[in-house]
Amino acid sequence: MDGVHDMGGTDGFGKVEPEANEPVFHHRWEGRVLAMSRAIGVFRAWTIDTSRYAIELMAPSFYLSRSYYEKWFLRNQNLLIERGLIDADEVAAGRALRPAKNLSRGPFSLADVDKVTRRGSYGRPAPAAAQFKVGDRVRTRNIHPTTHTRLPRYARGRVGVVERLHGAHIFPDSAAAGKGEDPQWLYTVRFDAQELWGPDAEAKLKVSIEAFEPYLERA
Amino acid sequence: MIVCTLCSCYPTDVLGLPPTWYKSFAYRSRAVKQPRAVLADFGVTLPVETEIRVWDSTAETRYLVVPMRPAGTERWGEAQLAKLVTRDSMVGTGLPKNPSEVA
Repeated sequence: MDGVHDMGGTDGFGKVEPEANEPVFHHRWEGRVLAMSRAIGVFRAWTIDTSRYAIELMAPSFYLSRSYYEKWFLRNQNLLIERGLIDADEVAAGRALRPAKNLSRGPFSLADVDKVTRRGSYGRPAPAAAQFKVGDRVRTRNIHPTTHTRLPRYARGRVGVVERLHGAHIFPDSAAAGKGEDPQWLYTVRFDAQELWGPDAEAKLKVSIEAFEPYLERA
Repeated sequence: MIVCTLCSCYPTDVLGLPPTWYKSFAYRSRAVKQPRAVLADFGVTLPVETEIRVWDSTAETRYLVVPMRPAGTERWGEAQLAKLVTRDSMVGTGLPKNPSEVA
């Protein structure tokens, strides 16, 4: 979707401000939200793509004014309600009002901690031969799905070069739409800055995206 | 330089949780368009002839930068070289430490 989350090239956000002492968390509750998010992950109630899409669906004013972990918290709450694992009145009450729903597996335990802190694999067997090879010139499609996609706006309709093949991966556009994993070939596609930003682009700059095959056509 | 313009994808398994600046709108918006300006925010200026390469982490592949070996460290061993490597130098927003800082 063409949302505010798709920030590449947006002007006006000011300077990047590294912090001197750089705390891992700025409030104690942020660590709890992170732990909560990881713990929920073990139940496989939703995928990483669904969870990104849930954040993209937040109102632009909310997205832009709330912190990273505030959005994570709201995402967890929204998805838990949507999946019927909790109810809105329970959130309002701050406690369970009904017996817990049956989960696909038993409760979270300490033995699960290692599992949820380790990253999963998103590579899948390729459904067909790759259409492009390293060195091919490709054009990204000018698509504007109203659902989740990982093709950023600044890189749509642009000509680049295939730099690397990564095998086939879960296709986020399908996964977030509840259409299954739908594995697709994944490529690193490199663009000259002028192709993305016009004649005033920074000199000697190249930018690459990770592009799924359905995002690409031969140039 | 490594960025995620769409959310905040980061090589967490290797580098730990991302710093707040990596998740900031300023970094996510500018890194792909004005990386030299972003580097200036970190106090880093590169020669104009140095090519800059930005990776936007738009899928589940994760990247980090292997910093260039600083001049004068040709005879250094792995443990010594590791002391020069900073988190920011692996994200691409900083250079490794100066050899004189750790020698």
